[in-house]
Amino acid sequence: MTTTTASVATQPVSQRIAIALKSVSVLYPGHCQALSNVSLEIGAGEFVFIVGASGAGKSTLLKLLTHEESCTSGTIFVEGCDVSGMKVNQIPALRRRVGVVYQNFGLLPDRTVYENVAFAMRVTGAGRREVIRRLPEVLELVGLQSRPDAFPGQLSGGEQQRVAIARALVNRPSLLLADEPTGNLDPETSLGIVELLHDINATGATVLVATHDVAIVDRSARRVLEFADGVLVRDEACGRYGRGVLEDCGEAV
Amino acid sequence: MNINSVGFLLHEGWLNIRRHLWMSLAALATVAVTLMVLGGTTWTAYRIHEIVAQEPEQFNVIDVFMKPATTREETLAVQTALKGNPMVRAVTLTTKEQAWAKLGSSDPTLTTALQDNPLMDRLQVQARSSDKVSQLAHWLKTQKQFPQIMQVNDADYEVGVLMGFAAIVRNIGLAVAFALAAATLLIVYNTIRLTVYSRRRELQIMKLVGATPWFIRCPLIFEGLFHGICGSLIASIALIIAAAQVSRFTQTLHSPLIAHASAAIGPLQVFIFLGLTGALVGLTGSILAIHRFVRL
Repeated sequence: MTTTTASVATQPVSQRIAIALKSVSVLYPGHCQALSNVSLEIGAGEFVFIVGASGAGKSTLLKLLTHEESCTSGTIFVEGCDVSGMKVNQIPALRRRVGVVYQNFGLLPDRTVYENVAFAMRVTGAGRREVIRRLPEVLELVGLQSRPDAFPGQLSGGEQQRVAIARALVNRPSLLLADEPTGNLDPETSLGIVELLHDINATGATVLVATHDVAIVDRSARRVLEFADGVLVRDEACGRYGRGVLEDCGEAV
Repeated sequence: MNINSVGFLLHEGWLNIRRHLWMSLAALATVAVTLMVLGGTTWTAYRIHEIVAQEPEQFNVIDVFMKPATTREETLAVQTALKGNPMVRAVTLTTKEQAWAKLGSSDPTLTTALQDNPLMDRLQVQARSSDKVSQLAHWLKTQKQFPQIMQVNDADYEVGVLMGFAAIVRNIGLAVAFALAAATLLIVYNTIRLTVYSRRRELQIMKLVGATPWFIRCPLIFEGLFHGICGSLIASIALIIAAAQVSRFTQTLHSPLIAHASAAIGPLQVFIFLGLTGALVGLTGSILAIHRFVRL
């Protein structure tokens, strides 16, 4: 069983710890070990790729951070909050600080771009005026300021993923989790999405991306966490998708 | 939760209803039928009890029929003697001629066919209070002082029949309403289950962006309440119309017993009673479905 505790990567980040896992294990019913004794730290403002084969534990790790899943043992801290010992009524406050993006976008097909993003604000209690003030700013950030009235069915895959990212960002989370955000996109569109995630990271948000996309990991030259059968087997401050030395370390796409 | 949020939640609840319009209409119709049965039986039972309770005077009266051979002087003497009884408040005489004339005015063919008046003088003896009725009736039936008395009829029988009828109406109505309420609960439950299924993406997004559990539950609770309250509104209107029809019919009967049935329960009371019952059914159905199908 391999346990690795990573140091913070080469990127210029603050000393504050955004995520800390200590000896975290997740055991699903039927003795299926999703994560095994994982310890790691991620500094605030870092950009981290999580790689590994399907079933390695990438998605489970992300779900632990939003308390969609609970760990069987160990402790998890997100932005200083003990997620593992969190009460049910504290979960909404945690989730407002964490934006989530999925491979299948998860958009509401009967609502426009504007309504999809506004929905995430309204359900957290934001008023109409606040939405009107915040929305143009977010849509501009993701490059969709000209298509607020389009429905998801009228958008390309890349545009739909941008809407999903806008929705994840609209409540100003300090941590953005992306689970296979380029899984349904062509290589060129994927690069555009990763560039957007880098831009978001540049504003100070911590970004975690779970992916199978070799190209975007190798071109990004960022910290890489590799999982295999629930175990953290590699933690490189400036890594590739596979094992090996990255020549242009430190340069982003 | 501010006023902006309330508007948003109501809007979301309304979207739920529109998405399952037919299922919502089915739920609404079942709630309405259930409450009509519940309201109708409750109203009937209530009215019967009210007639008995509000008009005790008409059940305090004992009819005393004199023998056909009794002379008017003897009848008047009995009347005067009964007036002196401490259990008696008043004694009214209806002569056989007056009774014959009344019968003739309501059914002339009968008096023509009979030719001779077979009726007798009747003394209507009113007891001083309702608790004295039985005692007074028993004394009249068993006394030997006035051999001219042929028959004594008290209201015990009518009251018994009326109250028995009220009990049957109430029990059958409650049993039917209970079965229908259970069916309504299941329909509301199923409607909310469909909503949870069709809105699973919204619910998932709400959870992930940090909506509080109450914010997630509210549109679903609103949907259940909508079915209950709108169903009760329909039932109330139907019941008030039906009560007005019954009232109009009873007035045409000129019966002293049911004359007061026209003074029905006020529309406000019907709305409140059925509204609360409908809201309770809708609320319970939606809460059960949320508890079962919504993972927070």
